[in-house]
Amino acid sequence: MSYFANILVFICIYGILAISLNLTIGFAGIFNLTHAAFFGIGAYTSALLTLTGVPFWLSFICAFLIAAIFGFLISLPATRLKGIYLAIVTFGFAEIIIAVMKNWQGLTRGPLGLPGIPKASLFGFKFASTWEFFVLAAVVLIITYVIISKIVNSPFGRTMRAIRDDEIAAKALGKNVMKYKSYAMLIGAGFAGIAGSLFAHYITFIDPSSFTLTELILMLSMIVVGGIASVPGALLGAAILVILPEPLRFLYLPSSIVAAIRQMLFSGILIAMLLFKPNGILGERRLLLKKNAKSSWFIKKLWRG
Amino acid sequence: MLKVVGLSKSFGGVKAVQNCKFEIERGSIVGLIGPNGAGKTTVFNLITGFLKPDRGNIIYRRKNITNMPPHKIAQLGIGRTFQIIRLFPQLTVLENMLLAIPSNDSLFTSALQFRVVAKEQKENIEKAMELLKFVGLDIKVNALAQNLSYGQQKLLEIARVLALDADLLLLDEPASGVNLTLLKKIAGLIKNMRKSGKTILLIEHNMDFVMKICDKVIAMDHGKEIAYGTPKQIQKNKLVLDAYLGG
Ligand SMILES: Nc1ncnc2c1ncn2[C@@H]1O[C@H](COP(=O)(O)OP(=O)(O)OP(=O)(O)O)[C@@H](O)[C@H]1O
Ligand SMILES: [Mg+2]
Repeated sequence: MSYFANILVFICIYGILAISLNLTIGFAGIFNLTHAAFFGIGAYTSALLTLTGVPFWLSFICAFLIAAIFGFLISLPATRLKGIYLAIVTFGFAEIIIAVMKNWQGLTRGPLGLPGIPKASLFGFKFASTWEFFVLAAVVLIITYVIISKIVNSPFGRTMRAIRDDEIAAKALGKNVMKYKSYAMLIGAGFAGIAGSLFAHYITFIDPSSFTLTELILMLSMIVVGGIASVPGALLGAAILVILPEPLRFLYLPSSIVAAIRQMLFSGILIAMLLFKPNGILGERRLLLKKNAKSSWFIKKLWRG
Repeated sequence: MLKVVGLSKSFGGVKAVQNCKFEIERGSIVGLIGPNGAGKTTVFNLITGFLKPDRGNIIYRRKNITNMPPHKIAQLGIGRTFQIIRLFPQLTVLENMLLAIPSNDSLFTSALQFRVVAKEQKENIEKAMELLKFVGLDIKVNALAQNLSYGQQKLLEIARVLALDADLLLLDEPASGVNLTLLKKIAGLIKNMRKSGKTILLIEHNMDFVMKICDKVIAMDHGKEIAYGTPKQIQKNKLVLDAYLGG
């Protein structure tokens, strides 16, 4: 049943994306809208390198490094801004990255995309079937899950959460706020990069349309549904949003209508969650505001920074 | 210990601090008083690096700290509290304390959770608990800071700045808005801080409180320093009386 394996592979890829996005937004409080673009940078880096003959494992590592470097660079101006201003700047960066993918045709072939990306292989073993690829994706997901859980539960993670809560107080306690924020962006972007690498070597074809606003909204919905500032929550959110639109496949509607219904479904869930369970299903209990608070921490963070 | 020379800061047309100069001796408790808007909090923000002075210098232990970023100044041993309480609301009382205790929270050592980090963590928790007991918050260790009462939040902010292990503490209205019992308790805590070797500069509007615990008092009005002396001298100073009566 490669149909189920396919769903599981996507849960793994989106799980990695949602967990790493939650690191920057949920734990570090950086309203980062560049995540889908980091995903794309990872995908293009890995695809282009393997197409020139670099082995998969090395391309995979480069996907992490290149995306992480972009994450770090974007963090430099971004960590000086807050709230809606930061959201606008990071979104602007994402748009620039997508524009480069579309227009640097000599490198990326623009909107035509890159076909014929080799399937992932390690030490001569080719992850050719969907189930085989699922094993690889699951291993990467588990590693991501463990590393990011360790980070958020460490003293480093505690400082990150403190900065999210009150930057000025953190500075008064001697914390170099910029440094922590840059690390959070760097790590978050790096993991989005490896998700991109997996994606490229699974689908074997990529084009810029896979890394746009729609993708970003999907990732954001995952952490809102699953739980802000929760690692298991992000994974749960990814699983729910990957599985939920599946029944649409069996309605045999024209694909343009299915796409529209999908969008409506995601938006509907997002609005419902923000209204009724603003910190998500597994959102850190501690993040729940006092009983009488009207809007969620997440919304406040977005607007006020 | 701390020396401020010719410090000035304006916000647009508002001269918040004008040519301020004073010196604070090691081991003393100095009060900074003045009517609302006199520029007291601005002086704190200048000393701790949250604002850059237009002119003047700040010397701490013979080191010029003017224009240093706030976290560096804190690392040099100047701790502060805020007029409007600034805790980490979504973190627990214990976590708030642990953040102040100097420790290794760099990404690689702490994320890999080496034994050293675990051991350091255990020692820090003990230290935090001790300080929480000292202010009477040990029963609230695992409560979220945002769920504490106003008075408890004030105490936690004081305990937290103590955990920083700074030598000079700047307390911005540590006893504002608390009842008489807590006021006395906070006065006791501050006296105890001095006993343990700290130097304290505090802003306070409650004159009884200032008179009781301060060795020296600096009075400000309209951004200018108008008087300096013992509490008794300040109490009788004509300029100070005029400033408070709106003369
Ligand atoms: N960031 C700022 N931007 C503009 N004006 C400011 C700023 N901070 C302070 N001021 C102004 O500077 C003056 C001094 O303010 P400051 O907060 O230092 O007073 P204060 O002595 O602490 O008063 P209070 O006793 O009411 O706390 C006021 O007129 C205030 O409006
Ligand atoms: Mg003030």
